[in-house]
Amino acid sequence: MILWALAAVPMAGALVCLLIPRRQAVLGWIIIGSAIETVLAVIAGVGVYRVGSMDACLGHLALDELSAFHLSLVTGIFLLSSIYARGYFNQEPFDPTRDDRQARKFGALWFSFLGSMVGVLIFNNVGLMWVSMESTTLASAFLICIHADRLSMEAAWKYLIICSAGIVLGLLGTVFIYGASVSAGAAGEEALCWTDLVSHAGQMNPSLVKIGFVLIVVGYGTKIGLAPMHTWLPDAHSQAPTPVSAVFSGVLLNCATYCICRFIPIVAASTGTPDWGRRILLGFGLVSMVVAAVFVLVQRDVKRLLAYSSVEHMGIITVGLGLGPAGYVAALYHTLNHSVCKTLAFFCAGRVGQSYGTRNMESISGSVSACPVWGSGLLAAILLLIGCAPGAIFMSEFMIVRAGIAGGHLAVIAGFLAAVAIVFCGALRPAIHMAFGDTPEPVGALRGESTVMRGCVVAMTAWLILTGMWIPAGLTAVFQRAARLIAGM
Amino acid sequence: MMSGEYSAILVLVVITNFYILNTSRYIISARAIALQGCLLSLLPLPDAFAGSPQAMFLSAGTLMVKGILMPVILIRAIRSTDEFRVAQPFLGHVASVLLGFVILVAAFWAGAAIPLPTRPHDVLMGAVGLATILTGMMIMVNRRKAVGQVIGFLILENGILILSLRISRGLPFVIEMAILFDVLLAAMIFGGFIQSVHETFSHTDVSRMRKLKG
Amino acid sequence: MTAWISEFVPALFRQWAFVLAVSPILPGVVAKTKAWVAGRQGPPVIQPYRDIVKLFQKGAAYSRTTTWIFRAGPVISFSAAMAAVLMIPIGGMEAPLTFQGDLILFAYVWGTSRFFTMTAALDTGSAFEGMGASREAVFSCLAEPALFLGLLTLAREAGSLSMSDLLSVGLIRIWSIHAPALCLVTTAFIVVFLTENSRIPIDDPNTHLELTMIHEVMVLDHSGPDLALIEYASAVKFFALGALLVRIVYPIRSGGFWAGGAVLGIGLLGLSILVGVIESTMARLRLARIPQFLAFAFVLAGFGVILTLAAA
Repeated sequence: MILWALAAVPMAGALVCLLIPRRQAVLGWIIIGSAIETVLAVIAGVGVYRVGSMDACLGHLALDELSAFHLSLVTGIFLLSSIYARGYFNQEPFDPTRDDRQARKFGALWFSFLGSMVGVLIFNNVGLMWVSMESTTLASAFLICIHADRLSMEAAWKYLIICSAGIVLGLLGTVFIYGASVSAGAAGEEALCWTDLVSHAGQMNPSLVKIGFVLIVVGYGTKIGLAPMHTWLPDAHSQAPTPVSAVFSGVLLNCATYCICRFIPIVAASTGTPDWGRRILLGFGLVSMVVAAVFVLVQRDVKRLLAYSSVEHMGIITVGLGLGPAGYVAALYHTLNHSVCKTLAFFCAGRVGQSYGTRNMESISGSVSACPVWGSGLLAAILLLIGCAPGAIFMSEFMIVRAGIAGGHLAVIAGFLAAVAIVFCGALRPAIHMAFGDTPEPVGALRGESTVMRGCVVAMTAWLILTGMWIPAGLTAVFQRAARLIAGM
Repeated sequence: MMSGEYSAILVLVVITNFYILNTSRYIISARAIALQGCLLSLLPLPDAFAGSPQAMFLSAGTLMVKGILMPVILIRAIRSTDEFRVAQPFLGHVASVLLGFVILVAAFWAGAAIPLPTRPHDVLMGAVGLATILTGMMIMVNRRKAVGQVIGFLILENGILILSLRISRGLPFVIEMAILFDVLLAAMIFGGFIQSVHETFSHTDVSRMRKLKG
Repeated sequence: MTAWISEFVPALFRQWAFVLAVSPILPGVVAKTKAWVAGRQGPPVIQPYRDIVKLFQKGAAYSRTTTWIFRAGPVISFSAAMAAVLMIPIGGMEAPLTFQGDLILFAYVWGTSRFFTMTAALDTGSAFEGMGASREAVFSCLAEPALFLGLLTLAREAGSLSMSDLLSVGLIRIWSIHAPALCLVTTAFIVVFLTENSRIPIDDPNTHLELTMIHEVMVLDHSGPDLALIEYASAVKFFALGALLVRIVYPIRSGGFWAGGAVLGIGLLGLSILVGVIESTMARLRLARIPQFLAFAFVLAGFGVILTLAAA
């Protein structure tokens, strides 16, 4: 029942948005809608962890520990971004002449985007999961270019083409997995249901599964932003309106990693050795980290810097997924940390950028004194992102390193640490410049400031520092139970 | 339907691929895509005659979406931009046709390696599917205009349909239908995007969009 | 030895007589068809015979800049055509000249003929003829692989490298197994046929603008008996390549020389009418498009090879 409600709220939200006449009301409604969705997701998540996984619609919809974790994270980040969007768009109206229309369009797409991501998480059928993943691309492409200027149009086109072409390979991979499933004796729709796939993965034709998994990693990897398929990511993240960038980086990429997680136990069971699939993930993860590390050094635009940092962190998560059960826990923990931290970073960067009227990091300086909340939030977020102790991200990276050393992947860990170190140095310099440089002429005052939003920034920073020092036992249990699903237990 | 006619359909699909590589007008490419979609809709027919109503629906859906609606959307998008000619692909026509031939050879070589062939024309089908996928990718990178990339994408999608028929006689019905709907939605969004790109840039030459780098 | 000669020589002369008698009517039929489609009366179908006879009665004019190469061109192209035609089987029996690998000779006899036509054109030192020669070289470069790949497909399936075996009863079996591949090869051969015979859409034999000519511009300076030989050679070429096509499409294998010859003649008449219709309905391709068209033919023939290989 609650799964139906989860699916229905975004759809209803999108329809309501089309009916609301005024911009302010639309921006208010997206907060209410995503709050309802978040509450539902949290209730469902708690239910899953208390009672066990649930399903609906003849097993087509299902929620287990892994998807419940992601679902709560998705809706939570989405709610924060909706709250942020109100202030952001008050500062930066869509388009003076068509403001209300643009707002309606934005609201409808915003909810469709949420709906398709929720779909990715609650469909038990990997085929429908793919369909939802493709819909996220279609729903979000217009969100990038809501302002319809040349740069955002270019970014949106790249995003649409690269992600569509990439995700289609994911479909091909799904087809191969289906072929393998049929070879193991399954038939009809059940042959693509994840629970059934896992249960008879052992009898599947291993070569079909292998081809399929490579295609799936490449396909969904495009959406994750793994190098060398990451080229759309910096453009889309930097050109999209900041609430959209935050959702992209904090949530959309996670949904794509979630899709890959679903296939890990199938590959491990069917090939007989867990190592084969893990090697592929390690390779893609490391390449992404190294590529991101190199590009972080040459960025001028603060949102592009954050985008490359997303590529790096997605690489870290992928490496974590390649390191076996201990790595899965660390990867899930890192997913949470990265989502919160990157969302915080984008929020602050967007506001600071609005205040200075530029996103060029050389022109932004002294933001801590010019706009205290957002400036110091940005500094804190970047410091946490690059792995300063004692932060949550430091802890999860540390866990990944420990898992790697325990698994004997010393070369991988060496590469991992080198990339992290390069990013650390590369991002530290602009972060300090932006925070403490000379303050230029009086910067523009920000309109639409809300105490709620400021409170959110402080709370998110505090949360990240706090969980770096002490992880609540309940949270650890969440990660461990979700990781058990990835491990196929 | 006999296997000879089945392979004839697949051969025609390959020929439409080459035709699209060879032509220099987008409208003609769109018509060739329509033809390809119609050919694809014939492929599930043997199963349909064998008494599977789902295969019949799939065939009808493919014809509707890939044979009629998508080309219509594409042609309208092309008309709305007034850019009809393939503007100097990065690789000339002769070279791209020859490269397409190399792809075809490679696809036959690799297609034979796809495991579990069960029916007599499976080898051909796998190879044609692969060749279509690769040709679509090649067209996507080799065209300057936005429309050209969309055409490549649609060919890529067609190739995946063929390959899915090869590997497992198509995906389950519900999913196949969902995918068709999704593809239709994608085509509509692509069409809308081409128009907005045209409005914003007053051209649709994607290769000239190079502001975002690094 | 004597037995061989007594068998070979009559067959040889019979074949030549048949070809020389029949071939000039084919361009006549093409011209007549075009006239019909255009709604004109047109020249009679025997006009090519009249032209050839008339030209043989005339004297030849030679430019002072030309050498013996210029004179050798028409003779060699005529002899090449006559040699090639010996490898075409007519009726149920083998061709007069047949051995393993004769299809390579068949292909390269045309190459020799083309080489000498081109050198003769270059020998005049005229810019136009040089241009024609260069175009001919480029396009034949693209047409020749298509011809070879097509022949290769047939040879692989027939298990022989001889034209007589290729175009034998076995073709019926090949059609039943590899119909798509043979369709592709036939299409490719039609393109090669149109190219080699300088027909629309590759080349326009009746054009009056030297700039757009390919083959015709190379023979502009020939006159009298030389021109007659060239005309005759091109008719024979039409016959030889057309016979190849007709035999692939309609592989009959019974009957003696005259019955087979009659069927072949009817097939060739049909082909001529088809060419006439193509010439009337299509426009000549722009020069830049011709390589594309030929590459397409090459790919079709190559696809035929792949199909037969993949089925094995």
